[in-house]
Amino acid sequence: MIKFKLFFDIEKEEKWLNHMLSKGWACTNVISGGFYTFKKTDDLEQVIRIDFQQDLKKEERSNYKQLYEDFGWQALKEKSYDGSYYWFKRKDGNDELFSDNDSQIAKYKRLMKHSSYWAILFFIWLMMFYSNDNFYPFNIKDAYFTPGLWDKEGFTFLFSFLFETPLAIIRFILPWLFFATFGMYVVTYFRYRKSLQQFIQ
Amino acid sequence: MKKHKLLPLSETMHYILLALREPLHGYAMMQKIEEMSAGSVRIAAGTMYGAIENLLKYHWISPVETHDTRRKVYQTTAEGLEVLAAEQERLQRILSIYEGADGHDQV
Repeated sequence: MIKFKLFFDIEKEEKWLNHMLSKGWACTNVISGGFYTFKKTDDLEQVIRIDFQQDLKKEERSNYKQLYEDFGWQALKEKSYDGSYYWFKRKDGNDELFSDNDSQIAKYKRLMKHSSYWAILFFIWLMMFYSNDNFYPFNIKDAYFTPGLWDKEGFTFLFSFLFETPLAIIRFILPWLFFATFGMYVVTYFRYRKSLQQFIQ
Repeated sequence: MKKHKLLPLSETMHYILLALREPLHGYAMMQKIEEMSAGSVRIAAGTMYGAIENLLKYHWISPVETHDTRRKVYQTTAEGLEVLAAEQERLQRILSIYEGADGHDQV
């Protein structure tokens, strides 16, 4: 089974995956962009946790994985392109990845660093592609800037259309990517604040 | 002097530095600490990984060469031992207050 779902909040994503597990659907793969594959499982006593580690070099990654595996966690996938690592294991009473608040806070800090980096980058790109005449995030047609493109016909239309399509896609998708990463940053920031407060109390 | 980011030591860091007075890898550290703390401290995988990275950064622990090519083994450095000694002094002062050494009544 394949499901499509977008999350700004890594904790909500984790909750959802555990909810699926409790209904007998074990996640087998996560494809960036919000696609999750599931397979039916009889083993309901499993738990899945999401960790975030940015830019692990090859040797660091094998060291990281070995340590988690020693603790009884199994990796959902070999590699991670966006820095999130999905771990699952059978429930045995030690079902958390973090046993103190410092390390939980550190995870949010890594996530915030990552999402703010991308949000800033997308914002810069957005400014580079931005035009005052067109506001295009709701209609991809508006992301084509060629004058009179939609009145052209036949081969000239096809040529101009295909020529501009990659640019139009970039123009169309950039605001959304910016809002998504910025949203992720904001949500993680509130998570971070919340765990700081727990720490003080 | 500016206070060090990791001082005073958190329970996790404290136990790790103490456990690593002999060379151990991550999982063995967790087991040792569970034993040292009479079962009250069980460090989770993510916390262990983060703590090791942090302690390596400040050179309070260092990797030790072993035959195990897959698991990294670490040990507390001389610098780490100094930190422990300072922490011991700090905690002893607090303990002595508990025991009424400052002239107040015992708690």
